[in-house]
Amino acid sequence: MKREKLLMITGFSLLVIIFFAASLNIWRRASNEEKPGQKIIRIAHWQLEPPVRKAFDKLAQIYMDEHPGVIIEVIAVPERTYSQWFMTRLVGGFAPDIIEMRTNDAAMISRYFLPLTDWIEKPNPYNAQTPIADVTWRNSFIDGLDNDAAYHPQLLDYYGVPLSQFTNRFIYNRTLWREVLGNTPPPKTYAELVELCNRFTAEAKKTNRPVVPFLSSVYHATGVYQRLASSQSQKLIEKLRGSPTQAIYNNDFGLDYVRGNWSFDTPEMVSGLEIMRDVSTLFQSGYEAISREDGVFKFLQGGALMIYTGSWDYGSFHDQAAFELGVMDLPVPDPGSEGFGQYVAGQPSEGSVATSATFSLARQSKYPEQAVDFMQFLTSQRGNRLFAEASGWLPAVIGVEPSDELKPFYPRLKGVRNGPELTTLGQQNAGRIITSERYKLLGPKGSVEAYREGLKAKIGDAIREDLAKAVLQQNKVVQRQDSIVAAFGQQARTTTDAKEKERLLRKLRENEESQTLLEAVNAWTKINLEAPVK
Amino acid sequence: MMTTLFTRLLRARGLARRSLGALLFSVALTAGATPWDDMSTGLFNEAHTEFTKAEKAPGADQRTLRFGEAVALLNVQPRTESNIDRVYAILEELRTVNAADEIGLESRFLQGRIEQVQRPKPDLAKADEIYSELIRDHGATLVGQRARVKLAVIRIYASGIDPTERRSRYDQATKDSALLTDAGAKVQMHLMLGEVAKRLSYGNGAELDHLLAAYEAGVTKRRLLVEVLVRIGDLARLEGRKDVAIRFYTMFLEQFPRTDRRTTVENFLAALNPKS
Repeated sequence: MKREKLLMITGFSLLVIIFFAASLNIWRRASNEEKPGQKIIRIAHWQLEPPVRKAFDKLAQIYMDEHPGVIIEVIAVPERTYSQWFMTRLVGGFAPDIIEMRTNDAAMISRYFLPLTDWIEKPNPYNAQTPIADVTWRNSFIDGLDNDAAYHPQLLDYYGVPLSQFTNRFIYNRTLWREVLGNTPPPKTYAELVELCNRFTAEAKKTNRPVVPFLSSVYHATGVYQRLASSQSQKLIEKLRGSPTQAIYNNDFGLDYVRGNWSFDTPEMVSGLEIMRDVSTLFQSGYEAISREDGVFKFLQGGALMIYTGSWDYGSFHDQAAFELGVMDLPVPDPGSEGFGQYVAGQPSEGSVATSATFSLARQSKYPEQAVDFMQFLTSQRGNRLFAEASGWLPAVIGVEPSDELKPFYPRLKGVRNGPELTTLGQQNAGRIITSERYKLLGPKGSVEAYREGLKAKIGDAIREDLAKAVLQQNKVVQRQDSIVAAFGQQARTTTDAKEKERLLRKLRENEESQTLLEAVNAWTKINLEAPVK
Repeated sequence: MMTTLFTRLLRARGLARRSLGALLFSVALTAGATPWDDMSTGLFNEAHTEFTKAEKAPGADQRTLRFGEAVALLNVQPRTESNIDRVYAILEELRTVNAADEIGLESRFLQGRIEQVQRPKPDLAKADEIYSELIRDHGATLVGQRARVKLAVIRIYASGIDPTERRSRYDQATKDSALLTDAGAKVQMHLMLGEVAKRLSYGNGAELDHLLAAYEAGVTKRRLLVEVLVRIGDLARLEGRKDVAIRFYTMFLEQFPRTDRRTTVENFLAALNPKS
């Protein structure tokens, strides 16, 4: 009886404490609300790396200093909960003004975000008195915003502006390199990379150093596989599409499989699997059981010579590593070289690397003009330079040079287009089969043969299911466009403003062009799922 | 203490007033200037509510508003079969009053769209019938020309037909494309037929002709234009039409300088034009 009473009192006390803590929080929050003549602009992102957070804070502070009466609140939310967090805020009607995008859902974006198109086609005022003063905001970005995060492929409007661009490179421990490998230069070919890793392992063994040459994890391995396997299928593009300049996207590639245009006996695809197995032998054993965070931790502890990762990691590595860092490329096999060079056309171009870390404007923003002004400041030459310097990220704006340290990350434009590989099939049913069967490829007992057989047995049905699902999804887009096209048509008929009429007719035509081609893709996919059309 | 509370109360009132203002501003922003604005940005539920409300206003243009209500209802979430039936019925009512004015023609066209893509189980034969009727009776109008494009998609991509029949349907659509006068319809038709020629291996020359026709009519969507330029360059190169290849590859590089195809296209250009 006494124990029960004690429990009750403890429970009640806890409740009271929580109530007061919550009230205090609300009270504090209220005191943070804007005062007369003051505007608060909130910007949310999920980049928790210390240098990136510092960069946002720095830019916010500069903007506030130059715009008295405006308060910029930067909200950093952990990546794992970010999507749910901002969705809850959007639905609840208390979203931040500017949000780093984490979704591409057309219905969601059109409902909760404002198109930036009207601003995008005018110069960014913060670029005045720079060489790009007259350049439109869109063209001030290195890719002209030709990417799905900034320009929504279904809504056919600009919904975001980016802060950076990302590439993958080896980040290596330069101190360890010097100690073990002396003045050995970075490898220029895949064969040299293999030789370097083997030499490092032998040298480390001699001196009993508990270090590995090529650190990987379940996360980092994917990037390595993609880069090397896609080099093996560079020439496959021409075989499937008649020219190396053409593109093969996931549904096309799946449909090619259904139509029998490629299989797991296609030499380029087999070679792609072989190089995946080959490079996996350079990783430390058990790498598939290591998470991204554990991999990074091991590298920063000095346990490895190098790790293949994204440029987004460089700033925080630089802050945390107690050793000197170096950056180098992961070379693909030389064309025609022995081993894996037979199907390679050249070193891959990174000309398709798009700008990212894209921010959008919430419809609920109380001050959309002020929020856009801040976005323009962030993405001006000056703002982007300051951001890049502070964050250790690559710039996204033309004319902003990356620092010397970051230059090795800058996309290399020379080279050829990479081909399709397994992940081109997407992450749905086919993607699950590719991942779940991969154990058959790797490790001492794995083999290319076993993996191929596993994939051949299961992937056909998975691809068909994915394609059928894609048809349904794409048909939803087509359905929406019927209403949108009718709306633009009606608006164009009734407006008396010639310029507006031209804009509306352009939007109408863009929608119709995209809709008709999507309908044709759907119809083509459907009839091929019934029986491959000859 | 009382002063602090009073100050807080005043601040709270101010806050509430500003929040209400913000809410109204936000609603106004969300609602857009007209229900058509809402619909063009995908806010179908809001547009539908606005249309039905506006219909009740005295002196309203009932015919246009009723059409707007039907078009919005087509995509009101959640989508239901009964809503689609209701839309069909409203469109029928509109075209019965006047089948030949813009609303009447648009209504009939949308009935075709409902049969083709909006219903859970499309009735392609019915859609074919509606589009054929529009082409027969109003072939020269914009709606008639859009119907011609949609009909070509249905017929060429029909399931269960033999290769000869499919080819003959493609040939017919190619012939009919000459009847199109609207630039938008021309672009759609030729881009679609170019894809058919590629998918069914009807030859590089056939695909090239369609893409050139689409380009001449004016491709609007930037994402499509990039592919059209480089594809024309490729096809012209393969067909030995050197001047066309050089012209389109050059335009591609000028208009889309940052691409992973740059080196390859530059090499093609160097081979096509060794003197440059």
